[in-house]
Amino acid sequence: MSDGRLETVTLEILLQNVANGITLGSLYALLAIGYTMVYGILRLINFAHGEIFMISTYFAFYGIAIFALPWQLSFILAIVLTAMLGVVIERAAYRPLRDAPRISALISAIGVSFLMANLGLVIFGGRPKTFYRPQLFQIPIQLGRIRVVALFFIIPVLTVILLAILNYIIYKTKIGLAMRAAQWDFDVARLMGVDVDRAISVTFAIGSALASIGGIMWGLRFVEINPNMGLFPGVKCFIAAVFGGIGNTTGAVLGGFLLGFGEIMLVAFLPGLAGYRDAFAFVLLILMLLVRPTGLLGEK
Amino acid sequence: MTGNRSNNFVRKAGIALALLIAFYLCLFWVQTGWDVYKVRILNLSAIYIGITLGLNLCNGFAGQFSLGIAGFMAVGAYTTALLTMSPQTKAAVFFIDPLIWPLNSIQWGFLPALLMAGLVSGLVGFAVGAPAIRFRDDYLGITTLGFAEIIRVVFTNTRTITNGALGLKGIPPHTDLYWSWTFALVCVLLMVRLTNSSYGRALKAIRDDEVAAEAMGVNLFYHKCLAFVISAMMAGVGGGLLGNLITTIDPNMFRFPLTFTVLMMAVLGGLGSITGSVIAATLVTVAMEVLRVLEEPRVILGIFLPGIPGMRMVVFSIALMVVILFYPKGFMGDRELGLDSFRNLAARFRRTFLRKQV
Amino acid sequence: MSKINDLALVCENIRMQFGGLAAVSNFDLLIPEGALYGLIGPNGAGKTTVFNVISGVLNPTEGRVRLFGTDVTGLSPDEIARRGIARTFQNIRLFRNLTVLENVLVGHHLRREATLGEALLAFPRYRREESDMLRTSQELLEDVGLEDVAHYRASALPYGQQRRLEIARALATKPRVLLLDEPAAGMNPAETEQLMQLILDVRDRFNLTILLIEHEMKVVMNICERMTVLDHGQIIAEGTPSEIQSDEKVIKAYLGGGVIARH
Repeated sequence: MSDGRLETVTLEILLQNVANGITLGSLYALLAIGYTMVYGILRLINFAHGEIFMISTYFAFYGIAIFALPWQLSFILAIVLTAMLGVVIERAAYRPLRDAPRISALISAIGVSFLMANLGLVIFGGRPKTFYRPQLFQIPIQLGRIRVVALFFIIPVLTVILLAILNYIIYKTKIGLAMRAAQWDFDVARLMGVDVDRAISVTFAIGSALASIGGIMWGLRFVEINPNMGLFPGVKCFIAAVFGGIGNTTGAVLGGFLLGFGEIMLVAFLPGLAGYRDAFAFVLLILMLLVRPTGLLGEK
Repeated sequence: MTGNRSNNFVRKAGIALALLIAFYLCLFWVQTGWDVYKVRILNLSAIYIGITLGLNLCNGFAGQFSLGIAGFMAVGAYTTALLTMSPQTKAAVFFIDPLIWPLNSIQWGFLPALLMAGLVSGLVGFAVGAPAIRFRDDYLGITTLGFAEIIRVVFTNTRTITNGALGLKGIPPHTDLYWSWTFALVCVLLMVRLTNSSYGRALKAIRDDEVAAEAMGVNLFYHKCLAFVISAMMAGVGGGLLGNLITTIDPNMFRFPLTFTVLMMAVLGGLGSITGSVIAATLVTVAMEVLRVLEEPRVILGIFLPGIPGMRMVVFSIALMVVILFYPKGFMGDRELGLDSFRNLAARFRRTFLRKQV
Repeated sequence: MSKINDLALVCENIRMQFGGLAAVSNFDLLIPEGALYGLIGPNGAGKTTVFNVISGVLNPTEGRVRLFGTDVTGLSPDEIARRGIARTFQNIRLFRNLTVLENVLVGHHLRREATLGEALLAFPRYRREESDMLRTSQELLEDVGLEDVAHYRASALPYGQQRRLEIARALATKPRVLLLDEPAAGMNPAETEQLMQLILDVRDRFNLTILLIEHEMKVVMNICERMTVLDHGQIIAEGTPSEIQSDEKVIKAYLGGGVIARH
């Protein structure tokens, strides 16, 4: 094998890994945003967020599998239902504990997370299901030396678009202003006429909707869905949010990308450490908490 | 005066000794008389009493929200297992990557192995706790969760020490009612002494208001570490007893659902109540077994009901949610069933039923 | 120089900077032993910041704090408590779930000599210390008039009693200097009267030096021997009550002399 061809192989593998990294990073980013928004406003880790992500994939799946809806409709319906689910969870499990000690709210969050994961197990069954793959996402595209399916483009592009829309909502609309005011201080916000409860509900709705888009994309990318799929991405994405600077949406996206990218690169270039892939996020977390607890972009 | 005091002491010591002997006689009777299934549940209950008390110390009395207890249980379980398994069993179990020296040739007695488990978990507890306890509740929770995960991942990947994902089999079944219930008893006594002491008050002060506690001269680092390390040690010894009870362990046993189970026991019983932890740990362990009914296929009244795996945890999750939303202090809150309660009960009994003037 | 070391509490050129904002600057304080000293000023003047610097909660950007000649700048709050400075808080910080008696007992913890092992095994030295601490705590509760509610949960106490409990708890740490942050806040005139008497009693009985932040002019003018006035983080006046009362800068800072003149 001549030197030229060896390099070609390496470059292809590198590009493939980069594409994988960008994809995974985008998915983590979508999930991380939900965590950071909820934490920013309630100072609470929404442990249930990972399970919301998981349930949205099942909403989409059953929409197609049982109700035979066209996939576009099923996906949109899944997003709407998931947003509603997020709001319901906030009302039922977090709002009653707003004045209780912090630990109570944390325990409630853990309880909801566990409940939903096990309900999923009970209702959907433990065997993984195969997510539907619409043709649109499977169109192959030739990028120089590598071949990827359209999905690899759609995910990051969609993420960027969503982030732009989110920034618009947060900075240019009234409800966004309400959310930012509530992030800062409840009482002051109320005095300014902000409906804090509504701001919180909208935060959960948006975060959950983004999680569900992430979930659907995840299903399209990785094909297999199961009731326990929310646990790891959930915790990792919270870590990504912390890494980027909790409360800061851009930081969450940055953290998500770095985490996804880092994971893929770790497995690609240090295959001996592949088993430690899931611990990578935690190592990052601990390093960060020791060195720079406010995260990359600091607390908002 | 002095005569009275020493008489009192002798009397109390006598009662305590008598109760202790009665207690162990009971254990003897159960161990030899009852069926294996019930004995196993009793063993599990005792082990979980100790572990729950450990969690309660850290999360309840000291107010440090740690989610890493499964990791410390893992450390303890593996330490005890590796020390008590015979070299022949180890050679057979570690068939892909042999166990490193000196572990592959030593075999210890149960007590030294358990003590070692406690020591190692305590050290790991310090390594985890010392940097982590500066954080607030939720960050501390995620950090300790992270450490537990890292421990598990490390155990899965260091095949020459832990046999990786294959786990350990053939662990000698040393755990019996005497071991497990002595453990539970020691843990209860430790907790009673600790929480009623000046140190216990300092921990509760930290829980209630850290800033004020520090201003009153309580060294936060020392006391938080204390709670953390003792809690880790209790979990480690409990994990060791668990390993030698069920005789097989693997890293997948020690994941978040295990932490959740212990957390649930502590919350249901009341974070900050020793009696609560004892009662809740026992009830939940029994309920876990009883509710297995829901998960296995059964024929009831001629109708075949398929098992629903995961149903148990659904029930428990709902129980936890109900408790945290409506009875956040748990069953006992921070009250204890002490001698006073028994005296009051006895006095009331005498008044109502015996019509005696009290 | 030796005169400085006789002083109970000295602040030298303290500056506390938060980013671009100097909460306190050029702050000096000289309090002799046994004095009852006041620190007053309009809201937001930086008084609690000064307390936080002295008690170790904050590390000053510049300047030194000396306790009986020893430099204690930047030590942790628990270390400072051990050296002999105790404090109360503007927004009462009691241990809500502990009883009144237990709150005071916590204050004794730092003076304990028995180790954890001795405590767990109930060794004689630990038991002796416990009974001593118990007795002293009960006496402190009597001093502040809370002996009847010793076994009540701290959160169950009415406001005035909570403030007195905080003082008893601080006294349990056997301090030489006591910092009181607005102890009369929210009290009615009768309670305020009792509080003033309590502060004077406590100062005499326990040989304390007391530094007091207060808004309630009656308290400050009646019991403080000298006081420093802060405004926007800077000292604008220092002296005896009568001197301060007639100081123009102080009157202006408090928006019209009525507040100070009338009492």
